[in-house]
Amino acid sequence: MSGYGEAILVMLAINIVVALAGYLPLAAGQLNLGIAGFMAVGGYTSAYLTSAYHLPMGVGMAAGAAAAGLLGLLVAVPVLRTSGIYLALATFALGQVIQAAFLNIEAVGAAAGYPVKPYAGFTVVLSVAFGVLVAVLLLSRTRFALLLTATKNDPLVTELFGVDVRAIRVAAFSLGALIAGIGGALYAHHYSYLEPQNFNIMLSVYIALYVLLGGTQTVAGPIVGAAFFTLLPELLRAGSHWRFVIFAVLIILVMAVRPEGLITGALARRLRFGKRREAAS
Amino acid sequence: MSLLALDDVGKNFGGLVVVKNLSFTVEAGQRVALIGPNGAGKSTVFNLITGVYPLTSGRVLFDGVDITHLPMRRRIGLGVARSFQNIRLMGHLSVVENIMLGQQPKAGGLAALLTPYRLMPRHRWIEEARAALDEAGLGAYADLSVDSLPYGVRKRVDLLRAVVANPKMLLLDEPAAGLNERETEDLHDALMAIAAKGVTLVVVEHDMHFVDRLCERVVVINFGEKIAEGTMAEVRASPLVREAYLGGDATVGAGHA
Ligand SMILES: Nc1ncnc2c1ncn2[C@@H]1O[C@H](COP(=O)(O)OP(=O)(O)OP(=O)(O)O)[C@@H](O)[C@H]1O
Ligand SMILES: [Mg+2]
Repeated sequence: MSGYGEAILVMLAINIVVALAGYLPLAAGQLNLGIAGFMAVGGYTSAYLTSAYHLPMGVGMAAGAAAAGLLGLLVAVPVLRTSGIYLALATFALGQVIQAAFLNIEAVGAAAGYPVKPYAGFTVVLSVAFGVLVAVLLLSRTRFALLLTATKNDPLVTELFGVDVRAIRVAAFSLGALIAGIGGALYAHHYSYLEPQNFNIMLSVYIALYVLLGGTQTVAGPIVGAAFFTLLPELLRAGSHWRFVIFAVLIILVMAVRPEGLITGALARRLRFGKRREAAS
Repeated sequence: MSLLALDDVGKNFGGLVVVKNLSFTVEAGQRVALIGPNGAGKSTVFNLITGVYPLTSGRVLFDGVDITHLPMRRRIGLGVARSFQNIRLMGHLSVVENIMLGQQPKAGGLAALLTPYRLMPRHRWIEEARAALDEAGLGAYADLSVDSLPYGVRKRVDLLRAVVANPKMLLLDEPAAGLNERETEDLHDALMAIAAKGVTLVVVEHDMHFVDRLCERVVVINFGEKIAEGTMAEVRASPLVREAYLGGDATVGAGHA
């Protein structure tokens, strides 16, 4: 494959991972606008452990994921006391705080940035991303996924059926943070250089858009959303400098026509039904 | 010992007194109606029994346990299930999945939560949910999304979801509201069948003919206070009840039934 093709696929793979990170809390109805912060935690943790302690990259990435997940767990309890726009603001602020923290940690280069040693090539990035995708797909076939949707739909009724809705929300948020940590670690080891600016609020906003545009009801949603955002600008590249305008207009159009995202549960069911009917006839 | 006992229960919303000094009991296996004019506090009483709102004063006992301060998610485990006046199904889930939410109280712990049942052919949960739907005559709707269902069917799914949880007591908030004659008749039969299995029913309902046929005992509240209790005939004879309903839209006193 051409270098260009590989570069696009790597970008797509990382974007799908972070879209899945944003998808899990959103599946329970909670917008995390601080995903970039959790990516930073995962990326810097892995980079630091592999450089300073010469740990293997796999161990570094696992530690990065664990650190991001743990931070998610720690902040989930206070942060998830809020909801709606306040939750978005709280997670937004959290992302800013994390970015600011890395701007000041000398051990990882502070504002000057931090070179990352072990290189994660095309195969590593795609394999890890594939692993994450399979894990999330498996999770989406469980009762946990059912309860995520129920929680988003009607937390009160979900609670009345014996579900600890707060625990479900905390789990979704922390798992999302953990996956963001993996995404950040992949980013760090592939692009071999970390700067706090890489993990700014625009990245968090984009990740949220991947999911909202793709749809929050099925795993296909964030994948389609990430693909849309990764590939479309490339396809439009040939066009002109108007491509960002065209891109923005397309986003607005999609959200106007399909406010629940490109892929909805009903659409997925209809597709599945269609298959079954074809098979029957 | 009664299955359910409200002991001097009170509920204020800010300065508004919505339930006041309310005591009544429900015996296991009984079919009891809780009636009263609009705004009397009937739905609020259900919300207090299920823990949706904390009590301002008094106690609620269920099956010998003081559940006054029990978190609401623990109550279904003791056997309290309910329906809502405005149907509250999960619009993003299919009908089968809504029924599966009803299985949740007996589904088990973390291992059950993380079992990828949707990848397992003929998994017990799905089979049981489909069987329950088939038995209720709702099998044809199993894979549809609930938002696409007609109102009467949504109400039946809502009821079934609560029944699947195997409650000892079912609290039904206006189960017959909005149903046509045929559907009301079917609902009556369905509820009698549920009661025959030993489930205690507490029904809030404005359709007095329906209440009269279904329930053995009636508790009447007005402005959150109990004003009468007994058989339908006894309650109808009460001057307090006649007064409460005078000018109201329901017609207990006038004997609409
Ligand atoms: N969460 C709340 N906050 C404030 N007031 C409330 C709340 N819930 C109910 N009320 C008030 O309590 C009173 C009783 O309401 P409730 O819904 O229990 O009546 P109801 O007997 O079920 O009436 P209906 O027959 O119309 O369903 C009403 O005046 C209502 O406005
Ligand atoms: Mg009511």
